Amino acid sequence: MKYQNDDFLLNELKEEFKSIEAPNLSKEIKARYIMKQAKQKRKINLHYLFRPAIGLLAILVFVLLIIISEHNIKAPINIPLNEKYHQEITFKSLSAINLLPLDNSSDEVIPLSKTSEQEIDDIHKYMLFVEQSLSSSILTKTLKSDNKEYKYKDQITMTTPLGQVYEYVFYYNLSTTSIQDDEQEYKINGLMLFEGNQYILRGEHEVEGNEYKTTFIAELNKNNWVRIVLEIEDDEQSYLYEIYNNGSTSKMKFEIENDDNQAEVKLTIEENQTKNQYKFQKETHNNQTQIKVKTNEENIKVYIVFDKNNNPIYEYFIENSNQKIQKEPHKKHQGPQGPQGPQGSKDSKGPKK
Amino acid sequence: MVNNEELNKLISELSKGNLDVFEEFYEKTKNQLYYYIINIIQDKHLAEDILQDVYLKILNSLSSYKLGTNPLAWMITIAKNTSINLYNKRKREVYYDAYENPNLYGSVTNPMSEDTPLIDTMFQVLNEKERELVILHVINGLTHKEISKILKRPLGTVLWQYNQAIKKLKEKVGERDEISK
Repeated sequence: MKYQNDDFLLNELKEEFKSIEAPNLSKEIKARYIMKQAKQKRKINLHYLFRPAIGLLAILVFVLLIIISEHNIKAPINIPLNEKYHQEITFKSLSAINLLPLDNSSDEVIPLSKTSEQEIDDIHKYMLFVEQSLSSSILTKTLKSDNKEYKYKDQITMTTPLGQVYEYVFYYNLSTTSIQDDEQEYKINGLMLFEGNQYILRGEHEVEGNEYKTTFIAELNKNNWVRIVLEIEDDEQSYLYEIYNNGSTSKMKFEIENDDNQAEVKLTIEENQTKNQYKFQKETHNNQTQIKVKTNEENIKVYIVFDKNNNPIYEYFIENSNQKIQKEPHKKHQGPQGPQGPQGSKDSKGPKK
Repeated sequence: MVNNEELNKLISELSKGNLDVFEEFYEKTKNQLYYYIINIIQDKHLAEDILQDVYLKILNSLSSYKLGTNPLAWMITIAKNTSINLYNKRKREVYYDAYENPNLYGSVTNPMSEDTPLIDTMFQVLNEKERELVILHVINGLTHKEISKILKRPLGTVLWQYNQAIKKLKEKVGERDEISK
């Protein structure tokens, strides 16, 4: 009977709860937080140094494939490197630049658990790449080289589905190093001009049957370099980025699989013995396109919607919590920032000597 | 009960990078978060792990907290997302049974005994959603409006569910008292 009074019942309950003490973990939490902060600082430093180089290497893979196609290099068993096929690959390589976080954002990989909003922030960094991986257009223009050191000059323009324009100028020489029964190897060296910077690169391309492997290395100095390896086999493509900075290495891997015209992108990030993975897949339901994202913990759907001014916006829908978050696409290479072609851009005037 | 003004001051210090106040901040808030997590997870050891993760997330998200608002509501939202994510990840239903799970809050008790702690009765009589409301309102001192925001449920629903929960609890305790007479 004593509990028939609400206040008495609830006060009793409160008193009982007071006797339960949460463990004292403040020192452990503080130590973990300090360690995490230190790690993050190291990662940010690494990222700032290498972001442009990695992006460029991705582009170069694409460029190499275009070159091979243009120069009519064929596999010994007479499988032509179909241009359309190359453009598909190149597009994916080119868009890889957008996987790298923006200058004003952290490059922290997704830890095992985050709040949904934080997770969306992280996924958003990769969305442009994923969206581009599924459709885009690329225009390659071969120009007369205005640099005596390089025989060829290409201008590449890529327009994404959301209307962002990427332009690059590439000077290069190409040579065949080995031709055997069903194997061919080519070497390429050149200069890439992008957003007012110039990069020296060297690479190799191997063809064996219907398998292709391309390796590019950009060396900033002896202690700082980036390597990208592209492998293609049937409907599977994988891109491996290895970043070496003064003794520490981090790796990122993209795998793109086409199955019955359904592309799936798998991204794995390995750093400091931590491995995180995301899977992206495009789907169309009732004429609306969506991208399904699977992270370590969440199922998220991404839609492209349009605001009042008809500007595209990514809308993230978190299945677990029915939460919707809208974010504008990144526009870091849009407009006047990038080279504007042979007439309008400083990049088109030829490499600096 | 946790004082919002004090907590806001501590969060402000933490935001400035002053980790010396963390112990005090933890002491003042740990129980509220722990009760909430354990209600969802129903595993004492796992709840301790999650508690650590929740505080790490809080420290990492300090910039997203609007100073002057209710810090506990903000912290509980983080605890909720973290616990639910983990719960879904485990992909298995966990039902509380005091006889199978005697370590949750204390000893095994007979729900019909007058000596049974109210907490045990609460766990046996109320479902997770109902317990969540009782813990957030009665133990953590949040208003129904704040709870409605955190749980993304209409205020009317929260009020109705809370009243139902208290009614159920009272009825069970009443039955128990009658039997023990």
